[in-house]
Amino acid sequence: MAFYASDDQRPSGMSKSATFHSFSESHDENLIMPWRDRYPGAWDYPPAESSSSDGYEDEDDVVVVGQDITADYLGQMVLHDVVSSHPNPDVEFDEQEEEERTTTPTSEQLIEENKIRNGQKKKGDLMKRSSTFTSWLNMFVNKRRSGTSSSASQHRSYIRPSVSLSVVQEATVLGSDGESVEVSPCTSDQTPTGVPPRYIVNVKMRQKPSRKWSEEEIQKRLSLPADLRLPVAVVEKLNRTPTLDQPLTRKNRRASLSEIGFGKLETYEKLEKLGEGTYATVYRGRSLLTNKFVALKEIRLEQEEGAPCTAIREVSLLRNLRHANVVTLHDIIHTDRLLTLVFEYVDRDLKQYMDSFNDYLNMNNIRLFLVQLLRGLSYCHQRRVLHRDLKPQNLLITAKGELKLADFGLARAKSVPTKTYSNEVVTLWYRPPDVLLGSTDYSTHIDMWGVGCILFEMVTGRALFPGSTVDQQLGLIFRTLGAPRPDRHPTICERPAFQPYSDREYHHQPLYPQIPRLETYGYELLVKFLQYEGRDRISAADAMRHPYLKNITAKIAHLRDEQSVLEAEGIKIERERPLYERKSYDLMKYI
Amino acid sequence: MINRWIWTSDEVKNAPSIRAGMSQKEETRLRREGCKIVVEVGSTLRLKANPTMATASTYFHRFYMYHTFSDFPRELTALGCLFLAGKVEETPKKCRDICNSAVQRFPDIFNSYASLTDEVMGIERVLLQTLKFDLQVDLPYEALLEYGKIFPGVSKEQMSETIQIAWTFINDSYYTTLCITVEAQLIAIALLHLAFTVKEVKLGAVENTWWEQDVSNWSNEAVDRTCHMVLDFYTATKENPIFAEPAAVVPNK
Repeated sequence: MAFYASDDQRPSGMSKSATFHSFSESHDENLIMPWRDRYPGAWDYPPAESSSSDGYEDEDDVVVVGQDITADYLGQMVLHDVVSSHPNPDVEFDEQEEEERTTTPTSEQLIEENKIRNGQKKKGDLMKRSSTFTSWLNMFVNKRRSGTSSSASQHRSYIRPSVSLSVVQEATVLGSDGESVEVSPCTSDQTPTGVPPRYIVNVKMRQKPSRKWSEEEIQKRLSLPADLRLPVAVVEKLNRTPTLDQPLTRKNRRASLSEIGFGKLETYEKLEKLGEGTYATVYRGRSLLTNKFVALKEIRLEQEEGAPCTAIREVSLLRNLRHANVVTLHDIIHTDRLLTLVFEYVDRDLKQYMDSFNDYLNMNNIRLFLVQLLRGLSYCHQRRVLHRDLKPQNLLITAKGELKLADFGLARAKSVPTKTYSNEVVTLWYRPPDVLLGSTDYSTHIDMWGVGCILFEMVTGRALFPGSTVDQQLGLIFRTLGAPRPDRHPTICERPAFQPYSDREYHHQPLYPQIPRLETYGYELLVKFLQYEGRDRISAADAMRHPYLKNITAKIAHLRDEQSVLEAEGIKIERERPLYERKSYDLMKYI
Repeated sequence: MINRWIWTSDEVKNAPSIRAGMSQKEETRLRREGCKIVVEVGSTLRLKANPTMATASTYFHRFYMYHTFSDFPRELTALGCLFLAGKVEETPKKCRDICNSAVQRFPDIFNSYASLTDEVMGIERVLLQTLKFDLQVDLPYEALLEYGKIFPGVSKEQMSETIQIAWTFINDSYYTTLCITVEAQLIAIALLHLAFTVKEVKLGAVENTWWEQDVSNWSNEAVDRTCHMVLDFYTATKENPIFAEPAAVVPNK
């Protein structure tokens, strides 16, 4: 196969991989087993429903626990041989026919053409195909079931587990070469005068990627993390084969990565279960490559709808985010029943961190957490990714005190605001009032309300608005912040859902006395997060420049995205004081 | 950042199907037909060009830079792309609904499939692996609307007409391989430029090469080439509308 120079170099323990081509060629009717027979229960569809966008929201996945994964995935195939087939410059191709350039048509003509084109009736018999595709798909699945014994030897299509999608490494290629990973947004001085600033990024003209690579050590060459311990056999083999001398193509890089063990389930040892979400089960695991802990998020694929919407969104968004304050997605393992996301392992979340210090945190640390939260959010928002589900449980705190945004299942890339999304998005406690009232105008400000709630919770040790119903939630908000006023908060007051609340009286419980620990600047910033009108809420980037945080922000301004704030000089997490060390006034709240 | 999903036109002319012996003409035809299926089935399901159908078409074109049409029939890939784009763009449609619409709209093509939903589910997995879960697609529409705001010399009415035409150009550009050869923002620029030319709009004080503030060293020839990709498509489909000619059976491998 692609990356073995010859069969004798193949490590004995590793089975050969099959490509789609070899499957197509080894088409064997006897192997076909209808899917229906194999999954008898899966065909009882619920009664027809209109296809609505909320069809996915109420998925309640049953999670398979305790299945023998090792046995189960032995027999899946590697796709990247096919996936990464590269254009071969030697192959001849038909020259594109020179078509006559039309004179520029007028719009009327074009519209007319469109009509003609749309009205065309297709004729003739189209693509009377045999069911080859079905057959190999079935065979593909059947292989996994029946193992690799008889049929495999017959067709030389030994199967290797899983599919490599080495995620982290692809991106580091760019970073480590000093190429700009991101396209910086148009700054205001590039905008012509008199025209409002626009969100249009500068585009650098594409250049052919340089094929000349300097001779460097393997890790640098393949842009692997420095802590990776490469198996000795792999190092030897890579030195024998010309892989490293050749220009590093996507194909041979991926091949090398796959050989090292990325994208394979057996590279990760599954340890205990950490938790169960709505669509996934999370396990602690260990990477056999780095001997480090990882978090394995197992997502069961749906019989009827395939990969869940949330999982697809989470992966596609996260794979493009590289930031010290965003949880890193190391690897994706896609088998036919499970999608396993391999994340860096962080041992606790903010909620657990607070619990372990009796909900009483050092103010300096709170400020550092807030800065990191804002730094991560500002990075996401700049890339037009909304988190939409901020809560202490989704903020991971490393042993060093780094904060990382996690759980992007509900996140989305910001899109045109005309679209309506489901408004069941943010956990009730951290949900802004506009969303509670049914607003679907999701923008970056939807996350900023939650930041305010989290800041309050870090300082006081209790949730700011712990409502259990929408009604109660809004009641708590209005009681604390005062009822919205039509003149100052039009978007809240004009929402039809607000009508029942408009003439209610609230027993006002102002915010200020509830948070005596927070200094004036901090309180001022807190209030800027907790604005009724989305457009009044301070943005993540602006919040970092607020007087409450600007000293820290100044110290970390020079850091690259992937550097932790703790690398900056003068930034350190202080030890949280246990209860018995605290001064008496700190203990007042326990009396 | 080098966009891994952008190919040179030479690479596109040397796509896997062509390397496997298919003629350029046939390959182009199959791409158009696949996109036609995306658009037709998508419209039946009331999906919009922006974002779902454009995203689906982009997946489709990217996919056939890695696979051949003989390995994966264009009609299944088209449905798979639509299914996946629906999930990514938060306009999800049930697999069954997509398949039902497809059978209704193109009975000749889809009636031969015994269990179409399974096929689409199967292709979804292949798609995810081929596209490496990199599913967020930049579309030109947003940039187009932004560019629509930078011409103070053009009347509001004329501008909105121009934007409308450019929008249609963008929609139709997805039948071509433009979305895998040119970045989204550049497509927006080129096709807005084309719309201005078609409408013979006077830009007033603004330079004719107004995009230069955002894009440097993009030659006028390159802009013209981009525009001609779309114009050529109109010419070609006027002569040979999509699905008009009897489709040859794709040889099985």
